[in-house]
Amino acid sequence: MVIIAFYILAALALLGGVGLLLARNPVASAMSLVLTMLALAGVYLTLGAEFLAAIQVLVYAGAIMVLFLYVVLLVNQEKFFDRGFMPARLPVPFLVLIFTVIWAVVLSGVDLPAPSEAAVVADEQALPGSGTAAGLALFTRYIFPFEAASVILLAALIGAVVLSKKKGVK
Amino acid sequence: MNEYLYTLIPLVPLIGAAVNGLFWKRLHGVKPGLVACATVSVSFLLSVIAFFHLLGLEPDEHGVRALQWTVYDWIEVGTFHAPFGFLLDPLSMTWVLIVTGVGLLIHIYSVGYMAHEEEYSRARYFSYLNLFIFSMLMLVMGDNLLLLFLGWEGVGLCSYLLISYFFDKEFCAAAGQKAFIVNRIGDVGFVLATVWTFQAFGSIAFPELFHNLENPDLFPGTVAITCIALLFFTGATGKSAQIPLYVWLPDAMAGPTPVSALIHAATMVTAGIYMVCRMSPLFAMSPVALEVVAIVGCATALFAGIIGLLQRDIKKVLAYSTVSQLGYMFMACGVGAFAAGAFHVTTHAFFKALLFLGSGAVIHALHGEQDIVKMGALKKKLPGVFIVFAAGSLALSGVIPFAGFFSKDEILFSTFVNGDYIIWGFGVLAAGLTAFYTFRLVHLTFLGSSRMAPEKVAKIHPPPKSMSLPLWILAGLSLVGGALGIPAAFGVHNVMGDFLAPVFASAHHQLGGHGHEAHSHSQEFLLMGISLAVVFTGFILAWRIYGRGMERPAKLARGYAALHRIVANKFYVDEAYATLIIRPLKKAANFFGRGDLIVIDGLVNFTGGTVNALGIIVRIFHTGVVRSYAFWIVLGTVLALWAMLT
Amino acid sequence: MDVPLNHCLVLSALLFGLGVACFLYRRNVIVMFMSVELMLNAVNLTIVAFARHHGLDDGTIYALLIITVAAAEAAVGLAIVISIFRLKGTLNADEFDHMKG
Repeated sequence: MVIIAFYILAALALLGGVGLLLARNPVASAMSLVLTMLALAGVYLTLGAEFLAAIQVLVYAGAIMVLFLYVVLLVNQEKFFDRGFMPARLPVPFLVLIFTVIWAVVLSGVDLPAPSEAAVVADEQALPGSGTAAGLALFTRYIFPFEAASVILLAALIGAVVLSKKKGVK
Repeated sequence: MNEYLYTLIPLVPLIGAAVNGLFWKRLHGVKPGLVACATVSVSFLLSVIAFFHLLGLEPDEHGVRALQWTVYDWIEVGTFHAPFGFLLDPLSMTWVLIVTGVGLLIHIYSVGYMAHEEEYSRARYFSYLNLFIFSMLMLVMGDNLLLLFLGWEGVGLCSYLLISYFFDKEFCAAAGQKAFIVNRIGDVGFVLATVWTFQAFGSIAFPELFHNLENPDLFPGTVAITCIALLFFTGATGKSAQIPLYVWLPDAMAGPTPVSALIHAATMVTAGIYMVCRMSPLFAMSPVALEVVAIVGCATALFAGIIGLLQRDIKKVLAYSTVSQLGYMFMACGVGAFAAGAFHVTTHAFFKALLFLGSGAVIHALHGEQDIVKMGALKKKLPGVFIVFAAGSLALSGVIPFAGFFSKDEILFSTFVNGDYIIWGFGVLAAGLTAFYTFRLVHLTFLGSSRMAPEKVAKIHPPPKSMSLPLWILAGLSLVGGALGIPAAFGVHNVMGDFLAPVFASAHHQLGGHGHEAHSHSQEFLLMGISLAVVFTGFILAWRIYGRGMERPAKLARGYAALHRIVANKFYVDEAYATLIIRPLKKAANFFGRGDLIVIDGLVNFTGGTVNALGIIVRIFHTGVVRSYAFWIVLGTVLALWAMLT
Repeated sequence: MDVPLNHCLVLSALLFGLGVACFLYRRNVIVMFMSVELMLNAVNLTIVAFARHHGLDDGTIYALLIITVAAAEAAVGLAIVISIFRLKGTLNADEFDHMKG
């Protein structure tokens, strides 16, 4: 069962990728990429990485893609339309919506891999793929990369602010 | 007295040269002349002390008294040893005394002569002069051929520096270059000979070398020995101005007169003779080489004497006279009478330096006039100069009892005794020519009637004390210097001969030497008489031609016009060299110069051009567009992965 | 039933290829950026698949960190894009050829 769900989600992801490639309107490209993100989140679920799936939806699809959309909409003009094959009038966002619904249905209807018996019994152990496990690993073994990542985010924050300031030049 | 102290003999003038040359500006108020004279005085004093020290030594197994010491192991490569060491034996002692003694007198003279130059130039002059003394002393005091060569090159350098002292005058600079280059040609022979000597005998240090010369196992054959000796002699012809490399000496008169006196009369030009004397054991092993030396010396003596007959510049007459007298010295060496050659070097140093300095006094008094045809009757205005000049002239001509008589006569006697009658004959003829041109010189300059404008005559002033004092000292030496070498025929010991005999003992042994004592004294007196007669004949002939103004010489010149022209133009030797040697060389140099421009510059430009072309090709990839870069990255990655996975 | 490793890798490879193609094909700089995000996602998938294959859950952490970096990069990159847009007035990548030659 999981395999079938996987195939459907994979198809959705590829569809999103094709949409990114071929859409002329940048907004349509962005929406296609959102579809891909969601599909990949589903794939993570089928692979048993629940925490990651959640993060993928929250951060990638929910924050990064929103940022991209902000920027695209900021400079969205007809003259910036790129070359591509899709008909210009194709209502891509609606299609994406439909596909997202399919995604949700698929995911809810499938039995996701259950955690192993042994792991459940021992309450010191955390379930692999779960948030607890991720948290434990992150704050013990991967504490240095964690801190480094926060520094990177800080740098990016400052950089973004500095770079996007208007300098009075057109 | 520790012999290491005598290292100061060459060292102190070197310090003086450095002080005058490098530090003069910082030592305000120090007179360059004072520094220079002081250093040479110290050297002279030490030389005298060394001389007496040497006299007091015990002779070694060869009968030679010598001081030898090494200051520093300079070069030690494999079997080649060239220590920085000194050797003071009678031969080098003689030269050291001449160089420091006569050198000191000339330094004192220079103070007066160069007084009108500005102080910076004087510092340069005295620095070079001291440097020269250092180099010459290194030449004669070195105990191996390499140190000798060091001094050899050093004196060549100083000669160049001093000849072109007035470097803003083109002909002075050219004369300096000529001297240096012609010298260099001779030096090639010297270096080759040194290398060959080392290769054949395994050492270039004198005591060792001469020991190895006697070793029959190392004998490389007469041809090799002759070639080595002749190569050494080539160097000597360059340095001591013999045929064919004498051409630089007359031109060298462009330098200041004290320079001509010191370098081109008394010391540097005698370096060749020193070298031949030092290598006498080697030369003695090759009769052919000795013959060549004698013949060249004789030919030069005669040839230069002829040219000197018609020269008008007072210094040029003396220059050719020097070349001629150097020929005599080589003649002596060539017949095996090395001691006689050394003796003539000594006396020649006295009277030739005197003559040059005297001519310098004349030129100084006449404010630069050097053409003797334009002089005359200077006896009245410069009596002192006349007397000393006359003394020098009599010594040069070889009139008894002046020094030159004894030395020249010993040479001629040795030639006769050796059986080279032809050489003897030419030598006597050259003596006659010497007498002739000397009398001509004295008469035209000092005697007869004045051919100068009266206002010029009024401005003549006698030389200052600094100049006249050395003149008188040298005149005295010219008079009594002969006492050093009075032959046994007069019943006394030949002082110089005895002093130098041990040094030349091995050479004489090789030649199966005839001692002078072996021949009858009456023969000697007869030969003396003949040469005196020839000298007086020369005087009389000169007086008859030049005695009453210039009409008779002018008439003779017209009568023998072609001959006169050839001789007066020095037999066109310089012109011949220019056409036969210098012009082709210049053409070759130009050819190679152009080749260098074309080939080497072409290569360099080609390299640059290639890089340029490559750059143009690479620039195609630099579009500035991100997408094309991305394409190339992807392409490269794919290819790399493909290569890694297959 | 487990998802076989190869399937995941194939999906990941396809997605990455799509991302590269999109990057090379499109001229709009923002879309090019998005294709970079797509490539990063594909890599994320690869890591998770392999980690799961080995029974570790470290893949989650790696992927998390990659997402973090991708976020930072997107923020700064978009800021730059906006600056360039303000300067040049165009979003066409081919027109930014100042470094030509």
